Amino acid sequence: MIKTEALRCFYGRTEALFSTTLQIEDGMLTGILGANGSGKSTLFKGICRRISTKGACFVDNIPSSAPPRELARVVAYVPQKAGLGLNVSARDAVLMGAHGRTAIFGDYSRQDKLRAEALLEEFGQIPPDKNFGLLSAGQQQLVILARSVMQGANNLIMDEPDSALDFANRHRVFERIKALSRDGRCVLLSLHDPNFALKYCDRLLFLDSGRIFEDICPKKEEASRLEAAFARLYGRVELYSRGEELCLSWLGER
Amino acid sequence: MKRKTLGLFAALAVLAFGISLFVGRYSISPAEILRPESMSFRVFFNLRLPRTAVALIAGAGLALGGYVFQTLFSNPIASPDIIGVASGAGTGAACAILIFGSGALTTACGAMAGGFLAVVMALALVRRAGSQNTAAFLLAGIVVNSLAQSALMAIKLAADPESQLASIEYWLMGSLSAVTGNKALPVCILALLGIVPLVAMSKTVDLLSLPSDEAQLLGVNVGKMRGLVILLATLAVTAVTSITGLISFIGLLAPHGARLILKNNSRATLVLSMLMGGILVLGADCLARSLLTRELPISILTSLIGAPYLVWLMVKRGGRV
Repeated sequence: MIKTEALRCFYGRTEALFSTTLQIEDGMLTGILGANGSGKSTLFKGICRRISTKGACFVDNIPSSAPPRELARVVAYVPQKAGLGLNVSARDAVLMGAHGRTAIFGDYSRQDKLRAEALLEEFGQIPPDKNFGLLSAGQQQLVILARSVMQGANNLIMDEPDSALDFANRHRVFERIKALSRDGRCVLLSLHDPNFALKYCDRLLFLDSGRIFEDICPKKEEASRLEAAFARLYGRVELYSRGEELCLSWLGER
Repeated sequence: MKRKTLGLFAALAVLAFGISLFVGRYSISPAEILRPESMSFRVFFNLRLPRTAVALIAGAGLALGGYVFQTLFSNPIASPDIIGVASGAGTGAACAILIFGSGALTTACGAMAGGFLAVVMALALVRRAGSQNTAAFLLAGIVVNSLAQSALMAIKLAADPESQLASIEYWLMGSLSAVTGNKALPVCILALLGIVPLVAMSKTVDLLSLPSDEAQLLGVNVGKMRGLVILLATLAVTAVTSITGLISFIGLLAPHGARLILKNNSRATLVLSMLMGGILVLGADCLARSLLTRELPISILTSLIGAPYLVWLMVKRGGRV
């Protein structure tokens, strides 16, 4: 569970996220929608204390100002695109997740190595010895997802994890993320595509200019409230249902 | 595959070590080595063995320094020199020669102090800039390098051209001829104090190649660990440089060679780089001792191998190094 109490984030003296009090629950997939520059990444950086903040933030009751190794045990972070410029094998990339519980001067345990291989197999039959840089963008993102699972943290924060992926790969990655949240993990992610958000997320936060202006569980709330929130972000939109699913289409500029 | 390759190169290193023990102007007869009063005994234990050991450690240390910096800065041509280790050491050595004359001990101390001073300055600049970006390190390196260069030029200008200037130039070209028994031991111990912990923490080094946010959230204390790794690598490199002078290209040749063979970065690749570095320096030093009647500076040979190798590497990888 991730909890913020009057969390404010700053770039220099500019306030990029205004006082935000939130509770992100376990077992739910919570999505954040917002235009570019609305403060999605800022919120994540604030939760992990990677920029200057005021207010409090707790992950599973551990303050996010805890030392990195302690924090890594409770929360894992999945970036938009892996910053792994190094030629490492897929296995070693996943094993990086085990760093927080391995001695600094030691090596990863045999158990961890086997687990890394099992995760790669489970997440898409990725050959463990293959160079990470030679994998497709979709496979790379699955490896990074496997790395966050390897970390063993109960809370996952993902910054547009689908942004580099094609249509089918995005669905594959989201199915995987959905399964992680169904296992009881607390997942908080940002994304751009409202239809993916409607299909996969249990709860949606709408962010505009550093403020969360709406907090909705799409399957429980009235459609009109949801449509109004989307309209504030994207302009003229229409929400319609197709069978069980809600879809959003854009009606163009006025 | 990994084990076989490592075994093969370890055997090659042992072979190069053995050859190096018996190459040189004074030919040693194996039978005489064990007689303490013989000339062979003195040459072997006071000159050959220390020199060979330092060559091996120097190669390993320089290769390790190159590997660590290339990983740390995700930059294939990085080496400790980019944050000013070599130019700092050069300036320190030149300064010592100018003040104390060309004694090996004072030159070595000057070189070590200079190398460390350069790195500490670069780290302080990065800290002052408040950014942990690779670009901040590179920029700090450029600043420190140019300061050291101008100091070196000033020292050269002040040096006596007959004796001191020659000593400075000779030191800058690198040579293992100054290595003797009593100097080799402290150098090897200092270098190993840098090398051993770095090999042990190779997985942390790999993680430091990630963007700092990502590494931090995987449990790495990026600021502290990066500083520690840089200081250990500097210790390994300046310890050997202090007595050998500048040996060029080993920090590039060995790690790239190892990556070419093992493909992936891992601890095995790090160890293979060190073995290759050792073999290269041992080989180059044997040639430096035996090609001509007078001894050649070792960097002439390592640069001679290094330049075409880099061209080959560039062509092989289609323009990317």
